[in-house]
Amino acid sequence: MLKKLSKGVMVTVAATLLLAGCSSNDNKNANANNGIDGEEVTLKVLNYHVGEDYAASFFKKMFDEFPSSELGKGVKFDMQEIPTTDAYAQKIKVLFATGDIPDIILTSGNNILDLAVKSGKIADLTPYFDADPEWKSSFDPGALERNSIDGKIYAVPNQKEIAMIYYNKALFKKAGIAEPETSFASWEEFFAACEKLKAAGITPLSLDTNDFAWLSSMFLGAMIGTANEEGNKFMNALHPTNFNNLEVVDALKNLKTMLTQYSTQDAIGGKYDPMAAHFLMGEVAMISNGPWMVPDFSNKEKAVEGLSDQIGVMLFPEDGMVNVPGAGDMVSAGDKATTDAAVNFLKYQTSLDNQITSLKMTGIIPVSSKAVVPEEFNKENPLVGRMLELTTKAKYQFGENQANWYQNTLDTLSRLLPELAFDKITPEDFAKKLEEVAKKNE
Amino acid sequence: MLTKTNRVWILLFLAPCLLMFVVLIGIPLVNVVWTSFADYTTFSKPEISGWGNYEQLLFHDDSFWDAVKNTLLWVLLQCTVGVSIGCAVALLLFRKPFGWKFFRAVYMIPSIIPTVASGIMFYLLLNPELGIVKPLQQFLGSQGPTLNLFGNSSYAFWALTLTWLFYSAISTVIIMAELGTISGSLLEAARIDGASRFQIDLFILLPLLRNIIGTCVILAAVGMITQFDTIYVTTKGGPGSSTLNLSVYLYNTATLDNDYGLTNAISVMQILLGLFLVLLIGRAFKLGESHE
Repeated sequence: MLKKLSKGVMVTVAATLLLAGCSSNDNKNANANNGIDGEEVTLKVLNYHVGEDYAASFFKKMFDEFPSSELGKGVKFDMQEIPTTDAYAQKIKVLFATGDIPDIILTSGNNILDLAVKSGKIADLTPYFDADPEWKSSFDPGALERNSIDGKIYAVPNQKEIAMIYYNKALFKKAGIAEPETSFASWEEFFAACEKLKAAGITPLSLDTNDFAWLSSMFLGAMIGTANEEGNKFMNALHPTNFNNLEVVDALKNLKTMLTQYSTQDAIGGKYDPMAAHFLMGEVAMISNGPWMVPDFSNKEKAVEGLSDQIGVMLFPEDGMVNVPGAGDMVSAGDKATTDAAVNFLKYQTSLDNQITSLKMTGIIPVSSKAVVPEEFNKENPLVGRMLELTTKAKYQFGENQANWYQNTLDTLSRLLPELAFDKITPEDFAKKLEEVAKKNE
Repeated sequence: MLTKTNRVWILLFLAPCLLMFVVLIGIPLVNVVWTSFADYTTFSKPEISGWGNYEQLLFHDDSFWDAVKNTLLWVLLQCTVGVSIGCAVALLLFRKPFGWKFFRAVYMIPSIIPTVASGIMFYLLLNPELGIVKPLQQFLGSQGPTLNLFGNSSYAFWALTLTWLFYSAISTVIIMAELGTISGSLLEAARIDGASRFQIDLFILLPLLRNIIGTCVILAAVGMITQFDTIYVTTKGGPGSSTLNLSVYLYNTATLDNDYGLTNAISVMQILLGLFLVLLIGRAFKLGESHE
C-alpha cells in the first residue's frame, strides 16, 4: 500500500527533491583556474535565446564570435539550452538553490537582482567597471544604478525596455478615428476612440489575463504611470508593495472596462499568443507591446498579408511610455579567471557596436545613449525608427510590471483579473490583495 | 518456512529496489520533512524555524485551504464518478458486445495522449472565440455573450473536471483483467438459477471485484492528489483560487514566492493527506482480505 502511495506522490517528491538542497558547489573550480592569458577558460552558460526566441540569432552570433575576438581569446562555452523565458526563469532559481549556477546568468526580464545578491553567489562587478572607465561611461548612470545594490554594481545592463501602442491604421480609418500625432491627449479620448471602434464593429484592444497578463499589464501600468506624479513614481519603483492606493484602484477600474467592453471574448483567461494573433490577423485595432513584436507584423506565418504596411505606433495617452533600463546579466562569484572571462563576454556583448547589432537583429533598444543608431536603420525599419523618435517626445516614462513587481504579485494579478472582470472582486479589494501578496516578500 | 539461505536471497533481491528507494525517495523525503521546519528560500540556506511554516499554512493561508478543498473534491469525484464509469464500461465490455475491441481501443485514446497536449486541446476547444462553445450556444439559440468556461471562476472548476472525469480507461483495463479471472461456471450457475444480467453484475461480479475496485479508487485518489499538468496549461489554478490544488499551490509557492520552507511544508501536508486517504480507502474496501 505504501509502495503505491510512494509511486503516486513521486511527482511531488521529485519536484521537491530539486528544492531540497542536494547541492554541488565545486563545479566552478573545474572550469579553469587561470586567466585568459594563454590558458583556456570554459564558461558555463544556460541559454534561453534559442529556437523561435526573438534574440536567438543575435546570441548565437555573440557566442560564436566572442572566442575569436580579442576579449574572448582562449574562452570556450559549455552551453546548455532551455527553450522559453518562463522555463529559464524557473530553472535559474532552482540552480541558485542548489548552488550550481552558470558562470553567466542571462537576464530573463524578471528582476531577481536583490535575491541573487542576498545569496552571495554572484560577483560584485564594480571593480571591473572602475578598471575600465570607457566601458563604464558607455552606460547611462541610471542604467547602472538600476543594476546596483548599496552602491555596488552586480549586473551589466544590455537593453532598454520600451513599449507603446501599435494600432491598425485601416481599422482606425474604418471607424473614423484620426491617427494621433504622438498619442491620445487623455485616457478619456482613448476610451472615446474605443467606443467608436466598437460602434464600427471592430474590437478595440488585444488583452489577456493568463501568464502574468502581459498585454493587460501594459495598459494597467500606463494608466497608473500617467495618472499623476505619485502614480509615475509607483510605476518606476522596483518591487513596490504599496498597491492599496488611488492610482492602482482607478487603473483597475478602467482595466475592467477594457476587458469587458473593448476586448475579445477570450481575453479573460486568455494567453498572450492567441490574443496577439487577434491583432496580427487584423481583427483588433490596438495592442501594446515592445519593439520585439515588430518582426511579427511581416511574418507570413503569424500575420495577415500586408499588415506591416497598416501598423502605426503611438505613445500611451497623455504621452506616456514604458522606458526603463532592463535588468542586466550577472556573473557568478567563481574563481577569478572564470569571472574575468565572463565579464569580458558581457563587455563584448554590450559594446556600442554590438548594441546596434542587437537593435538590427532583434529590435532590442540600446541601453546606452552613446550607441548611435545609423540613419539607414530608421529608413529600413520605419516603425522602430518612429518608436525611437517618439521616445524623445514622451512626457511620462515608467517601468513595466514584469520587470519591477514581485513574481507572486504578478501571479495574483493574473489570477484575479478574471475575477475583476466577472464582478467577483472589487478594484479596492483587488488592490489590497496585491499589497498583501507583495508584502510576503519583505 | 524461511530458512537462513532464503532470507539472504530475499534480501539480495530486494536490495537494488531498497537502495533505489532510499536514494531517490527516502533521502529527499527526509530533506523535505526537515526543511519544512526551516526558513528556506531560493537564495538562502535553510535555518530551522520550528512550526512557523505549518502555522502559516494552517492558520493564515486561505489559498492553502482553497487548494485542499479543491483537491479533496477532485479526489471524491474521481473516486466515485470516475471509477464508477470505468467499472461500468468494464462490465459492459466484459459481455463482449459487437465492436467491443474497437470501443476498448477508442476509450483508451484519451489516456495515451500526453496530459499537457490534451490540456492545450481543451483550452482551445473551450476558447470562447475560437472553440465550440460559441457555435454551440448559437445553435441552441442563445444571443448572450459566449460562456467563458476557463476564464470565469463560476465554471472553471467544472470545465476542468470534465476534461478528465469521463476517461477512466485505466480503471476499465484493470477491472477487465480481474473480470477475466472470474470462473465462468460461477456465472453459468447464476444464469441457471434465473439471475438477470443486472443481478449478476450487482450481486456476483461487483462483490468479487471489491479488491480491484479498491485498488482503482486508490489509484484515482493518488492521481488527483498529484494532478498538475492539465491545470497548469489551462488555468494555472485560477481564476482566483477556483482551480488551485495542492500540486499547483506547491509549485507556485516554490517558483513565485521562492519560499522552499513553506513549499516543503505543503509537500508534507500533501503526503500526509495521501497516506490518510490510502489508509482510509484501504480500510473501506477491506483491501487484502479474501472474499467471504
